[in-house]
Order: sequence, then structure tokens, then C-alpha cells
Amino acid sequence: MNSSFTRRAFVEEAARNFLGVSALGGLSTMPQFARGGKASEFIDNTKLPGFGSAENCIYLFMAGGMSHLDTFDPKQGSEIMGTTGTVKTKVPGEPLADNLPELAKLRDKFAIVRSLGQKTGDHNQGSYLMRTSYSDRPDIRHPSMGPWASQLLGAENGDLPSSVNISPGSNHPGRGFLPPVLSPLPILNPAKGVSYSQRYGGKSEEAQARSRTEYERRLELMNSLDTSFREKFTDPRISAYTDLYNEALKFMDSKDLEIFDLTKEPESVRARYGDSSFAQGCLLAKRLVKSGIRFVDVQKGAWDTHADNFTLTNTLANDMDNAVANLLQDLKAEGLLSKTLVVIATEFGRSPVINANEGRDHHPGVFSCVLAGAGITGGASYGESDEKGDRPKTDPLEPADFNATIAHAMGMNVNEIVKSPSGRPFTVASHTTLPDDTIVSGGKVISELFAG
Amino acid sequence: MRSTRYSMKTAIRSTPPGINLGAGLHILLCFTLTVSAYAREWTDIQGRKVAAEYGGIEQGSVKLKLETGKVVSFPINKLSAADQAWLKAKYNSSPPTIARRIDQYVSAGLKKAGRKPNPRTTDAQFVRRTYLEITGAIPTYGQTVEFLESTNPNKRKALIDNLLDSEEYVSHTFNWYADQLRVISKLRDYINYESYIQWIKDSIKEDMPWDVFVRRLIEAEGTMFEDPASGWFLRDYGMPLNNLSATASLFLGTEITCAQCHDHPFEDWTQMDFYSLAAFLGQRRDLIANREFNEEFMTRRDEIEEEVRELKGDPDFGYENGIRLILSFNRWASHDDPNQTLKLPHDYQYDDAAPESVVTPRTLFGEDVKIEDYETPRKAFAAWATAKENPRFALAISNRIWDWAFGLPLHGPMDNISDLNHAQNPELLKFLGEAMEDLDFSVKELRRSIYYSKAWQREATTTGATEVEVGRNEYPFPGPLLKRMTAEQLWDSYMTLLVTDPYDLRRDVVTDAEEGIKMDFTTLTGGRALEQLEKAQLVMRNVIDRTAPSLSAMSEEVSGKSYRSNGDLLSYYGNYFVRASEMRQPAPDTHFLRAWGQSDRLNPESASEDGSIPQILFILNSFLTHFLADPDSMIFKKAGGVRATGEKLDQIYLSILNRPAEGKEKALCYKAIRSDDEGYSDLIWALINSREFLFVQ
Repeated sequence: MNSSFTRRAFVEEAARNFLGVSALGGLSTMPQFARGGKASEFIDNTKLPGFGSAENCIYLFMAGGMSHLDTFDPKQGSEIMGTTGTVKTKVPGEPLADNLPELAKLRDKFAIVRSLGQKTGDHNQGSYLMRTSYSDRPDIRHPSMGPWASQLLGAENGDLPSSVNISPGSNHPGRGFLPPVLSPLPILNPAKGVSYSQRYGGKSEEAQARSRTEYERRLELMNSLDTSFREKFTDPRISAYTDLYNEALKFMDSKDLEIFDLTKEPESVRARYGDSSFAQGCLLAKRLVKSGIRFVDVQKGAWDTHADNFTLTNTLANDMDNAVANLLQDLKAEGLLSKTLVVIATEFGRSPVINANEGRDHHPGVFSCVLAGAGITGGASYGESDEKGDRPKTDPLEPADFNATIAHAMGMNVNEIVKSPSGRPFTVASHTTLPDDTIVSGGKVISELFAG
Repeated sequence: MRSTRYSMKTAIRSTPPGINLGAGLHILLCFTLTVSAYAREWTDIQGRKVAAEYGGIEQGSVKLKLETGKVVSFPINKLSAADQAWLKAKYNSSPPTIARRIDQYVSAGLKKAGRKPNPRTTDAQFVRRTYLEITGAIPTYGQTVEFLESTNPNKRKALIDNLLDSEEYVSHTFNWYADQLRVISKLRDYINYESYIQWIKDSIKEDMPWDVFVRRLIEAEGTMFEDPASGWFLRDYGMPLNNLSATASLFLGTEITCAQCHDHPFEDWTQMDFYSLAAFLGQRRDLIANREFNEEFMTRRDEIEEEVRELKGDPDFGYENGIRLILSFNRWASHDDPNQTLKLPHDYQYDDAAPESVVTPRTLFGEDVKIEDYETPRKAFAAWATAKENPRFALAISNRIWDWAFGLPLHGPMDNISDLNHAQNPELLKFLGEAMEDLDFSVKELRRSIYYSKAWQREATTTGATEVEVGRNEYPFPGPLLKRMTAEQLWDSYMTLLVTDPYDLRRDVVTDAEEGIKMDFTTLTGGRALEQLEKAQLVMRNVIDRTAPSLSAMSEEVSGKSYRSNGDLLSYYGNYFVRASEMRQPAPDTHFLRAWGQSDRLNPESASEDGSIPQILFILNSFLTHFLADPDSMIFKKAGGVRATGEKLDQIYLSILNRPAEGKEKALCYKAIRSDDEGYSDLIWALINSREFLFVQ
């Protein structure tokens, strides 16, 4: 629809929406919208376009650092491209790397943000910052977006968890400091779903009923024998485990357990997505949001292509390309795309310089991420990197701005303060304190991305 | 050199406030620093005598300061039996002394915080905690009873000593090393690290001093078959700068990753600092760098692949079948190329040097090194990093050992000890670093010293530590923190309950892997390569891709189960009942160990003790709990020997919680047990699912 959407149009629309004036002189940056730095004023995001356009979010994380040049930000004809070429897309003047032939055909369905940057080239720090908007510090663990959504929008979801992490790495920040019941449910292998979700002792109804009686008897005994220990130790980690037992039992009895079972999908559909763990994770994510699970995080690893970048990235990108293209098309066909935000994120980009091992090293200076569905203007792009793909050329953004945009689409008030157990204030997309001591969101919503 | 060391030590050595050290204690503690005023007579095995002052033990030699002032190093095994015994006594006497000093510092810290110490652990708490801490699993019924009933007044010390010498100490300590070093069994098919893994276990077993261990890693030279320590560099194949960041954070307590791309925003490190340090390793490559070898390799590789295709009669046989990977793996080696240099990145933005200019090696702190004094810059770096003069090296490992024992480091974050004064008890951390040096970097002896201390033998803090205490390093250690069992402790404890000896089967696949993968290019033929490929594929399939420790011990699987020769269970549908250290590293992502937080080994120290629903489902509904509570289980078999309900009850309690049932509990148990096996099953199930089982008091 809005296939010729340009940066200039963004700026102008932004100006109309917020200033009531027409932006003159083109691309000058307006201070109110200067992102990628500390906020200087309170902006009520609930009044901005796109607020609450997404009921669900599928967050696809490319761990290891996805090369922006070899995927969403190719520099046509430049020597920095190595053996990667470009492919024409459905949107004129918006080529993609030739590693993404399927997404090229769907270019009108998603927006690309090309001016993200951050300061750390460390995987742990980078992915933590991307997922939480905060730097990793020893004294606190910040929540990732799924639990933030549960906290700010409510976690009531019957017996099902409100957020799920598919193939998370060991260092996923999870619920951070939020209550243990907001922990995302981890699924380590999407093809296997949730292991051991049935009571031991046979699948028949009769066997399960017998088991149920046995479990109740044993749990009662366990709780009474454990009383003195739980009374003596008030360490909050103990009660967290007690809560988890209750959650697990509720979960086991849920009628909706089969939504986690990919064998319920036709074989042809599973084959269409691809057989990688990530591809199957995308299909599972679709099943989950369809059943009302609000936030599904799917991780795809191995993007750390220090050696042999062009062979490896081709394989990785092809897998992502096919799976995400299938996901977008299916969501669209099932009427879910308009209320589901699909995100492709990563911790940093990869260097324009090709090293001695035909690889690309870490490059936090600039990188690209993708947003689709739920009110996002298809075919759009926001921000540019310079000719070498080295630094943002326009509209520099930080991870907090990107996360504020996700939160905004999902209907979270980005200025809402949530306190950690020790009383420290935090907001969903990092925070900053204004001169009058008001605490406001540090990240600023990229509202230009939403079709007004 | 020596005088510098003394002045440095003096600068950071300190005395806790309000503690008046006795003169004798002071001398004993400082015997490697301020040379003792007392010379003694030493006799060697040939009867020759010399008067000299004792100056410390270092790698099998004793340092003796002669009357002339000259310091010589003399091999201990060349000394008379009497002198060897004297040294041994001296050496062994150190941990109790260090333990006393630890207690003094902890007391001072508690006083400063206005906190009282926790009460001393009961024997039951102590035996369970100590087994879990040192061997990685709960004690058996027999081991528990033996300790509880012992009347030896020194039984705690005796238990610590015995366990530190046990085989299980190696197994559990390996889990700790593996989390820090990010140990993996394979990177890609056929690219395996079995010889490196075995070398780590051997070095723990012989208590290789930490400085020697780290030096071996940094100096590693050759393929992993030639020098298994090269697994440390080859773990990060193609990513030398990432490897340097890990080296700095793990071994030097210095987080400089940020400075890889720009000046560090919060610390003093500049990007030039990072590159100057990296320049020490600038000649190192991950592949053999000899041009003639490489040309020969390429030619031979093509020839052999061609031969193999002919032999197989399959023109497509090749890359996909692994032959090229196996051939290539023989080129993976930590290797220096004197012609290679490290250059600044193309986008270097500061004006102290031009982008892409060659960087000169320079150290960040401690004593500088002269590269000319060493064979290679890499050896100079290894010497600097592990030197006693390097103020952060001993502190980093001591802080980690403390964290392992108490559940919280003295200084967090552990990978960045930027300012000792950020610790609640900086004097204690300084002292531990000094003790580590005095113990010649023996990880085992420092751990022994900590376990001897009253501080460690106190009850766990019932309230846990607050966010502020953790964040600002303000927890004053009235006792250890309550610890959730690590994934490995939980699994290995289950194994203790499930089979008689879960450590009877060790992973020993280095030979198999080597026979399959190591190739001699001078004599290699296509036929030989094909034979090796088949062998290597067998190793891959049976040893690396599965969790099994070895092939020979397996019985036939019937209904998914296989058994050991003594009738104990060995496996259930591919889950092997062996210790975590003997499985593939890390365990497959759907394994119990991973659900319970075993690290994926991508980043240092990523093991997690956080809870999740799948963990609970695993315990509630998997075969594991079923096997434990089944009337066929080992607990049942053992309890079957006694008849009286009370005795059975005690046996079950002592096996699982390592304490007898108490008052109110007994009544509850009697009610539950009634008279049938089902009641005992219920009890076992209930105890295994209790929080008391999961947390280490």
C-alpha cells in the first residue's frame, strides 16, 4: 500500500502528527525526535499513532550478530559486499541481499530499521542490552520484553504462560527482577514441545486419573514434610520454587497443552517452513500466538561469522528467509498479521571489513532490525547507514528506542514505572531523569513506522 | 625483580582492624615474603648439608636462601626423608593457619556491618553440604551414618581431607572449570575437544597450580593431539580477540571487551590498551602457518579425496561425508607465525596512532615484561599474566573460589575487579590473593583452607542476601548463602540415589577419537583415510553425539533400558546414568542438565540457578523420579534389609535428606506409610520434591 514511503514522508508525517506543522527543509533532525540519546522531555506514547496495534508479538532474535550488509542493508556494487549480491524486491529502490530471495517478494509487508547502533561488541552485553534496554550490571537482572508485557498488561492467561522462549540461550535475561510467575516458559526443542507435561503412568484417561490421585496425595505429604524448612528459610528463592510447582501443576491440567505439539500440524506445513530448529520454532510461535500467548521469543544462533562469513551467512540467511517468509504469509492468510507484531532483532552487525579468514568481525557501530505486522507500514525503512555500512548516516537509534517501539505497539505505557524488589524504578525501554526529577522512558517510540 | 615483588606485596598486604597478630603467626604467614630469620640445616639424599632459610615451594622444588643471600631452587625429591617430612608438615600446616586468618577477617567484616555470625552447622548439615561442595553429590546413606556416628573430634577436618582426595573431587571441579572455560565436546562434526577435556581433568587430579595451568593454555603449541591445552585457543577458532577478552576477564579479573571497539566508557581502558595487549598474541594463528606445509596439504587433500571417490565408486563422495573436515582438523593448531603482526582496526578513531598501523605489545598493569627475554611474545604474555607480581591474577581466582564456596563473591562482578575497595571486606580479598600465592596457586589447598574455616562451617543465611548486599558487595558473610543445587549437583545426587557407583563409567574416548581423526599426511592413502573416516564416524555417532561415556560397558537395551554388569541401571532411552562430567559437554539441549541450568558454554560462567516450569515437569513427570520412587529402586532395595518401620523411615530420610526424621515429621510419615510399599514410594517422592532437597543448607 504505502510502497513508496520514504524517510522524508516519515519526517513530514511525524511533524504533522506531533507539531501540527509541516516540516520544512527536508531531513533536518528535530530535537524533539532526536533518538539515540537521553530523553529531554516527557512524551506520552499512549497518544501516538500505533499505540496498542499489536495483541501479540513474535520476537525473532539472531544471536551472534547478524551481518546487516549480507541481509537487510546491502551496499549495491560496493567492494565491502564480498560475494554477496543484491536482489530486487517488491518495493522499487529497496534491494535486499541476495541471501533473502523470499523476503524480497514480501518487502511490502515489513519495515527495516537501518540506523541502530550500540557501544559494546561483546555478545553477552550486546544481547542483554538489546533484550532489556539496560546494560548488564551485577546488582540486578532486568526483564526481557515478554515479562515486561505480562507486568504492564496483565498476565492472566488461563493456565497458559503469557510468554514463551523458544531455544533461548543460557544468558537470556528472562523475567529479570519481576516475580517468578512471569518467567517465560522455555522450550528447548520446538519439535519436541514441552517435555514431560503429562503425569507419569500411561496416557489413557483412566491412568491419568489414577496418577492424579497419587500426585495429590504425594504433593500434600511433600508440602507438610517441607514445612519446617520453608518456615526457617525465608530466602525468596524458596518461595519462587513453591510458586513454580503450583504453576507447573496448573499447566499440566491445561486443556490447551496441544498447542505446543507440532505433530498436530500437517507434515507438508512443517516441511514448508524448513527442518531447522529455528524454522520449526517459527511455526510453533505462530501456533502459540494464535492460541493467545502474547509474547513468543525465538532464537536462532550461530550468526557469529568471524570466519567463512559468506558461506555461513548464506546458509543462515536462507533458513531465516524461508521460515520468516512462511510465517508472514501464514499470519496474513489466517488474519493474524494485523494484530501480531513480528520482529527480527540481533545484538550487533558485522564489520564491512572482510578479515583474513573471509569473515566479518563484530560491528556494534550500526546494524539493522525488522518490524512487520500490527500497524507497521509495510515496505518502509527508517534510518540509513553510511555508504560503507559503518555508522548511522541519519536518524541514529539505540536499542531502547527500538524496544520502546515494540512496547508501544503492544500497548504498554513506556513511561510506567515498575519498582524492583529493593524499590529502584525502571521502565520498559530504559529510563532517564529529567531536570525536575521526573523519571521518563529513555527509549523513544519510532512512531513514524506506524501507518497513521 | 624480587625486591619489586616485596614492595608490591607490602603495598597491598594489610592487617584487619583491631586484630593483634601474634609474632609467630605473622612469621608463619609471611614465610614466602619476608624471609624468615631462622635458617635451618638441610640435608640431601647424598648426605650433603647446607644452612639456608626456607623460601617457599614451587613446582616440586624448594627455594632456599643461602647465607650469602643467594636464592637457589632445589628439587624436593633430592632432599633427605626428614627434610621432605619437614616441608610436608610446613606445607600441610598452612590451610589451618589460613583458615584462622579468614575467620579473623570475616569477624572484622561482621563487626563493621554490625552483624552477628550465623550458628555453627549441625553435623547433618555439614556432611550434606561438604559432600555436595567437594564431590558434587549428596552423601550415601552409609557415608552419612559413618560421619554422624563418628566420635573423632576432628571428623570435620578428616572428611574435608578425604573428599578433596576423592575421584569425585575431580569430576565436580571439572564442572566448575567447564562453565568458566566454556568447554565443549565438539565445535562441528569431527572437530572435537576430547583430548583437551581429558587434559583438564588430569590437571585437576594432579592439582596443577593455577598459574601453571593458565600458562599452559596461553603457551599452547601445536594440534590438540600434540598439546591438548591448545583447546583453549581453538575453542575460539577464528576469533582471537574474543578469546583475549575471555582471557582477561577470567584470569585477570579485567573486563576489556568494550575497549575492543572504542575507549571503555566506565573504566580507564582505551582501545589502544586492548590492542596493545592483543599484540602479544598477534603472531598466533589457529592453523599451521607453514607455507610449504599448506601447499603440500592442499595437494595431498585433493589427491586423497580423489582416491577416496574412486574407492567408493561415488563421484560425489567428499565434503558432505566429512572427509574434508577430518583432513582439515589436522591443520588446526595453536601456532605462531613470526611474520604476522596485529594491526589497529580500519576505523581506529583516536589520534595516538593511524588506523591499520602495527601495534606494539604493552601490558596493562603489574610489572612490565621484556619481550626479548622470552622466545616469543606469547610466552612473555603468559609470564606477565600469571606472575605473582601481577596484582589481579591471584585475586581473580581467589574471588572465584570464594564465590564457589559461599555462593557470592567478595567482589562482584568477578570478571572486573577494578577497585578492591568495592568489596565489603577488601582486606579479606587481598589476604586470599596472598594466601593463593603462598600456596603456590594450589586451587585445592585454598579450597581446603576455606572449608576449614569457621566462617564456611556456619549455617546458611536464612533470609538470603538482599539486592543491595549483592549489588554493592555489602554482604558481610555471617555464613554461606543458601544455594540451589547446580544442575550437575542435582543430577549427580539423583545418580547417587539411583545406582551404586555412578562414577564407575568414565568418558575415555581420546584414543578412539585420535585413531579416527589424527592423520599422517606423509603416509596417508585414500584407503587408510577411508578406514579412519569410518572409525571417526563411529566415534561421532556413539560417543560424541550421544551422552554415553564409552561403548564397551553397554548391555543390550530392552524396553529402552540397559544395565550395568552389577545389575544397576545404565541407561533409559539414551539417558545414561553416569555423572554429568562424563557426558558430552554441554549435555544436549533437551537433557535434564540443560533444563536445570547447565551452561550452553557460549559465554563464561553462564550456568544458571533460576527456576522454570520445565524443571518442575522434569522432576514431577519424568522417568527419573519414577525410577527413584519405584519399589524396584535402589533406596527400596537397601531399605528392604530392615524390617521395622522406624528404621526404614530413618534409612529413607538419611539417604535423601541426610538427617533423621524429627518429631512431627515422624507422625506424618507413619500416617503416610501405613504398611504397604506405596506408602514408602510416596515418602521418597515427597522428599525428593521438597525444597529442602533442592537447596544446600
